[in-house]
Amino acid sequence: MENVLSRDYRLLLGKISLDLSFAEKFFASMDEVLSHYSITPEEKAKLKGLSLKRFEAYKKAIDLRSCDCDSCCNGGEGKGSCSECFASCCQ
Amino acid sequence: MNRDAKASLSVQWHITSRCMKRCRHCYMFESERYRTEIDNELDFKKMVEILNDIEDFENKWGFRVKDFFITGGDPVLNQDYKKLFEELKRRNKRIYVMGNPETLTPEVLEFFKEVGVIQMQMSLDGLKETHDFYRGKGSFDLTVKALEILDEYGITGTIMFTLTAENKDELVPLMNYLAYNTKAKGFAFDLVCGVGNARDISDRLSKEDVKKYFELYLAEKKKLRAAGNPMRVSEKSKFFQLIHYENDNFYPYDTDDFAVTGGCYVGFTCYTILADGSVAACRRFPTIIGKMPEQKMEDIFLANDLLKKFRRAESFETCGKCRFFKSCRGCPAVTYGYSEDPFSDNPLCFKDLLNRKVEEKDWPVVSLNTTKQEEADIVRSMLHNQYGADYNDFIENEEVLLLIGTLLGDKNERKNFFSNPDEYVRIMSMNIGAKEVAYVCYYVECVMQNRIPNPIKYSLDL
Repeated sequence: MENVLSRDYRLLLGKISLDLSFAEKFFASMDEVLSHYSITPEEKAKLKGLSLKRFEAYKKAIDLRSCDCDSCCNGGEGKGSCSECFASCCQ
Repeated sequence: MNRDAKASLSVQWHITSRCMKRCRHCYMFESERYRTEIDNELDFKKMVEILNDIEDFENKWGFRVKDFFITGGDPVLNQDYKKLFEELKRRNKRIYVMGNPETLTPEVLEFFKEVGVIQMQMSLDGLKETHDFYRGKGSFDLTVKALEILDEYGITGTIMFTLTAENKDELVPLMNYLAYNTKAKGFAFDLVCGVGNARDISDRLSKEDVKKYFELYLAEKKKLRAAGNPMRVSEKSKFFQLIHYENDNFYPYDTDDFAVTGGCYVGFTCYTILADGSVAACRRFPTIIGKMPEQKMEDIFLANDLLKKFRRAESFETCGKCRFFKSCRGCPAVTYGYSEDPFSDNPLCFKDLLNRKVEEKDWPVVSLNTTKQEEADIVRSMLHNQYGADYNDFIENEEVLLLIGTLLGDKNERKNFFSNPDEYVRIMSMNIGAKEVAYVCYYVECVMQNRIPNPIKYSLDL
C-alpha cells in the first residue's frame, strides 16, 4: 500500500479536520499556513479551494447541532463528548 | 481508563402519559402501567426534588447530565410543564421536546423560544394516507405545517419514522418528500417495537426486509447529499454498522480500555423517568428499575441489577458472543417484542446475510457483584466519554492526524483501513496504540455519517 497523497497534505487534512483552532488559522491565512508544508501544486490548489463561506456556516452550525451522536435529536456536545441521545422513544 | 473522564448521561423524561392521540403502534397505551402513570403524575415539587437528586449525582460521581429530552404522552399536557422548563433553563440544562403538532399553539411556541428549546421532534410514519392511518386523520398535514412554524420560531424541527412491515415502502418516499418539500431539519427512523398497541401489528418485518430497506435508505441518503440537500439523515439503528462493515467503511474495533464503544444506550447513556417518577431501563418495553424521588439516582443507575446486566456481554444470548457487541447490542426492546426476553437472540439482526463474515468473540466476564464506584467506572469507560477526556492529546498526536488525513482524503485508503485496522497500521509502520486506533475508527465513522464537526467535509466532497 502506497499513499498517492503527500505526507504533509494528509497531515494538513487531519489537522484541519480535528483541530478547530488550526482550521480557523488556516482559513484566516492560507498562504502563510501552507508555506510551512511541502505539498504538490495540485494539493495546494485543492486546499486553497476550501470554502471559507462553507466553513463559517459550519462553525455556526456547531452551536446548533454540535452533536456527536447518531440520533436525529442533534443533542449533546461536540468533540466527542456527547451523550448519545435516544430518539427511539418517539414510537 | 481515564478516571477524570466525565460520563455524559441524558435524561428522557416522560412528564405525562396524557395524549390526545391513540396511535395504532404506540408502546404506551394498553400497557399495564398506563393508568398508574396517569393517576400518579408527579407534581412540580417532586420534579424539583428529582432535579436536585440528579445534580447531587452529577457532583458526587463526576457525571454530566446536561440534555433533557422531555416527552410524554404530549409533554405540554402536563399542567406544570412550563415551570419544569423554566427550572431546567435556570439550571443551565438543554431542553429537547418530543411531542405532537396538535398542541403547538403560538403561545406554546413563544414559550419554547423563550426557554430555549433546542429542538422539537415529531413523528411521521409514512406519506399522508399511511401516516394518518397510524396517527389519526389530519395528522400528516399538521405535522408538516408544524415543521414550518417551528422554523419560523427558530426551533429545529425533526422527524422520526417507525419502520413496520406495513409502511416499509414509504420510508424512502417520505424521506425525499421531507427533504424537498418541508422545513424538516433532520430525519431518522428505527424499527417498530412490538409492545403495547404495536403487538396488534400482525405482519412482522424479516431480517431480509431490514437489510433491504437499510440499504435503500443509505443509497437515497447518498443521493440527497450529492444533491446538496441540507436535511440531516441519521443512521439511528446500530444495524447500519453491518452494511458499512460489509462495504469496508466500518470496523467494530475495540480494546479493553472501553466497556463499550457505542451501541444501545440502555445502562450507558440514558436515564428514563416516567410520569409517576418510575425509572425505566428503556421506555419501549416494561423494565421498571426504580422510583424517584423516593430512591436516589445513584442507587438506581449504579446499583440496579438489570442495568448491570445490560452492561455485560454474558447477559446476551447471541449479541454477547458477537464481534459487534461493544458497538451494537441490537435493540433489546425490539427483541423483547418478539420473545419477551430482551437478552435473547435478535431476530432482525442480518449479520448472517452479509458476504463479509462477522466473527464471534469471547468477551471478558464481568462480575455483577460490583460497587457503585466500579459500576460508575464501567460507564465512564465508554469510548465517547474517554474520547472527550483524551481529545486534546489526540489532536496533538501527529501519527493520528496523519492517519485521519489519509483516511479522509482517500477512499481506497479508508477501505484498506476498515478491512483490518491493526493490519493497516502494521503495514504502514505507524507508531500508534490500540486506543488511538479505536478513536480514529470512531472519528472517521462519525465523519462519514456526517455527525461530527468536520470542516473538510463541508468544504471538500470526500
